[in-house]
Amino acid sequence: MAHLDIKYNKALSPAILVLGLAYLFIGFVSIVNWCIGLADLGQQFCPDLIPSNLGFALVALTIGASLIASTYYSLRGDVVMHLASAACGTWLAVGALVIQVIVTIALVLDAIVVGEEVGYSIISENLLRMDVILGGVILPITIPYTLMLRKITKQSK
Amino acid sequence: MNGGKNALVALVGIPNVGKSLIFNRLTGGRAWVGNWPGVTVEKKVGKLKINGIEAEVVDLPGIYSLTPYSVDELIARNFIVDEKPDVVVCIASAVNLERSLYLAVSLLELGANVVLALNMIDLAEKEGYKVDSKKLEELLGIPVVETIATTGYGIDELKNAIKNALQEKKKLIHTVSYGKEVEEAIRKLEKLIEELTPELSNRYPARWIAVKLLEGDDDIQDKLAELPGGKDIVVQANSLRNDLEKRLADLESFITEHRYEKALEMARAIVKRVVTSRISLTDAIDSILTHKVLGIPFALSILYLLFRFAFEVSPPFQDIIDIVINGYLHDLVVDSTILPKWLASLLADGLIAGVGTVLVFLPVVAFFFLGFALLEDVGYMARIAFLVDKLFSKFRLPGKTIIPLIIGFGCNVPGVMATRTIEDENDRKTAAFIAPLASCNARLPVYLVIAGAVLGHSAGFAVLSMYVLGIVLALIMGFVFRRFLFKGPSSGFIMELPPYMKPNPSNIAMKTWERTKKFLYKAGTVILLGVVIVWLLSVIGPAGYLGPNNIEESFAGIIGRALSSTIFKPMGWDWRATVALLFGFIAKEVVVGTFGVLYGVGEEEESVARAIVEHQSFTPLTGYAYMAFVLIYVPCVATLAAIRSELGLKYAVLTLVYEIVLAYVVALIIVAGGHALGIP
Amino acid sequence: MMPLAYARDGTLVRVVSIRAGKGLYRRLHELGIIEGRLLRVVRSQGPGPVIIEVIDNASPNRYRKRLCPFNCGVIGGRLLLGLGIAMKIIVEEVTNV
Repeated sequence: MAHLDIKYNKALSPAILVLGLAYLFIGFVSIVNWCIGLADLGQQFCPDLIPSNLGFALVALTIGASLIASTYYSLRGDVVMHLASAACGTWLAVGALVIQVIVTIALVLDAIVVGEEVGYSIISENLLRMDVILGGVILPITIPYTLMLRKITKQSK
Repeated sequence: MNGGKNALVALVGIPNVGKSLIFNRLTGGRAWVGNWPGVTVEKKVGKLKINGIEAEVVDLPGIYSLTPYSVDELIARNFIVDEKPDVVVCIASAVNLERSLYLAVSLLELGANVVLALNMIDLAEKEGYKVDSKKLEELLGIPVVETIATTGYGIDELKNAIKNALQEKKKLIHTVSYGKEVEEAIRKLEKLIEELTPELSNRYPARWIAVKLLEGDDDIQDKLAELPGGKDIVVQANSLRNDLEKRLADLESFITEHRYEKALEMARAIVKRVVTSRISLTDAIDSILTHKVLGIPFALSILYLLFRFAFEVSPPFQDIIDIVINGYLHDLVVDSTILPKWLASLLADGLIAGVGTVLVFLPVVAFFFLGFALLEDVGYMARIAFLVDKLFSKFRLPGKTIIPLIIGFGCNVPGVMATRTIEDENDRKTAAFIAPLASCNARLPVYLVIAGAVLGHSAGFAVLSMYVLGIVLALIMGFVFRRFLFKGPSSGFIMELPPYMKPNPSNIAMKTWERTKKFLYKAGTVILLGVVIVWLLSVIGPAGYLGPNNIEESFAGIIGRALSSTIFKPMGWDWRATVALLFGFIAKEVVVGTFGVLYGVGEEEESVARAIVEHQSFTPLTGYAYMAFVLIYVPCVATLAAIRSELGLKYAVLTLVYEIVLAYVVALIIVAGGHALGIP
Repeated sequence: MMPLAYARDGTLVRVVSIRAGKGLYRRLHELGIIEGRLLRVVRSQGPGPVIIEVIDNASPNRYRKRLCPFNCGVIGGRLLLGLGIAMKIIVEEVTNV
């Protein structure tokens, strides 16, 4: 049963590690941006891509921590924990992506209802964000991990 | 049939077996919800039609047994004994057999006419085992129907089984034997009961009474003591019990164990393992979601996404409602030529503006409850209770308390009502008492406007701090009240942790609607009334009717000015702010609108914020203090009404008082503290 | 011997005594928790609330190889016990059966 996963694992493990580091990085930058904004210290780092929003930072850091943990567990040989933390981390990332997309749709609807112009800026402001971009990258990875997790928790006879 | 009227069917089951869903399937969703008389436990009644026979279906509370130790159990057992339902449907879960069967056996002892619905057989299969329902039918001696409530499988068969049970005569089934010695004692008592108190043995099976007496059931003892001849029976029962306990130690425990062992035996006999699994999916996910380190960040992230969903997806719907009510409807009334001026004002500026403001929140509340119901249905809420229990127990509160608080973030009214799920009486009352401290939806616009006006970059942070402040105060006050007001040892909290399940859309829809309905109800009733009163105060002054544009001279204005120059002087809030507080008593949603009216700029948040800046009504410090005051000061009238119905008038008044005092103190501390630090 | 609140993640324990009033004692009993019964500690926030599984060691059904090495079944529906209750249940770790 283990041999089924190895094929996926070998290819995806480094991806998980890289993405984990990416999310952690984004989370930190977001907090830095927030501090800059709070104390009015000057220019924020890519504020369009990385909003200075504590909630955003929280989610990013959680996803990052979860993916890094997954790598840690895989090195330790704990397959179940490795798969579980990868699955949970990727699901959260997809969740954040979905919410942001729905919010953008709502913004567009709102503009229509209120009678404002629906410009391209709405799309770019709200969809060109790291949680959407990385979320999109992670989306295809979510599937194999979920499948692997399912397999390992199903009937093993 | 039950006294010539409609047939009566009762639904019983342990928690988490899908009872509500089966109730819905049987009654087609047509239910009437009320309260069991004298207690704050919800009662659901619906109608069921099978082949021309009409039956009334009553949903009894979810219980594990029929002891006299909890209100829910007493309600269920008294209902079965007093109302004598023609059929009792016991809903069992194939993945929680032992406890389900324990309840079934207890019901049979009570002499009820039981039909067993074996629900969740699909989940059992997923877990890798099969349940032999035919064998269960043999062992129990009652009809057993396999069901899958989420798909509707087996519901028709269940209806048929109910119909058959309605038409057949009930037979008394003896399932548990308690050993030679105890059985002897039971026989002796049975005879005595039938002789001395025949009227009681007509209501309850004599054997059941005998067993309860030996268990030391206070409720039965009290009932017997009231009857002539009853006292002798009680005395005899006590002496028999003392004798038995010399040899068997605690008799109640002994009897419970026999009954439980029977349930275990039956479960063993009917379950066959088909496949083994190493670890379940729920376990795997839980190892992350209840992880020492990762658990809480995940919980906070999930809640954050829930909040985003509620607040950021609802604006288009809010705007639609706003345009229709505050736009079309409002203008329609104002421009009408048929209505007298004062009536038009009452309708437009009073009713429509007031109620309209509240209704604009409907989408936010609905989306919030939708997301919440989704998390609840999947089973995640129990995990959150686990994660916070450690923190909460430092404040002598059960972790479960967080659930009403989270619901309260949407709207305090269903939040207060959600405290019913807390078992311990004192814990429950404390939770209801502190529930209004959760920063509900309605307060958000106030925060946004003021923070936006005077707090600049820190605005977002300030708003977040209000939510945090609410929880912190809830914990602190919860500790104080639990310790000094609702005293008593805590019976702690036990919760079944359901496995993670695929969310069921109709379940989610039902729960969302139930809670949103409470919000709508409050808007339609209490707020409607309040808004009329507030309107009256704002258009009538000592000089008579003033029209809607002279609030300064109306009663409301006078009160406002009086307050702001006396009690609220140290806070530096002007008369407009205090008038808004006054109106906010009705419903906090109204505060921003009031500001708009007082500044004459209409209700748009941006214009109000601008007006605040222009008039310099708040400094960052006093503005922040005001936000805190609005968070704490008084639960809106609807919430007070909810507290009154849960705790009584005395406590509702007490809530009012303590919150005003607390709000004043906190605001004072903020302002005084700020001044001391040199902030203007 | 220690209160259940202090039990470690993933261990098997046996209930030694329950320090509770009549009502709580009965409630725990009816959920399956009584002196002598085996519990599996799924998750503990030691000391803190616990998530447990109640084990019926006369039942060969519904056991999980990884978690219960001998023939036994789990009484359905794992339980979450708050800190208060977990302190009232005294248990001892079981290393061999």
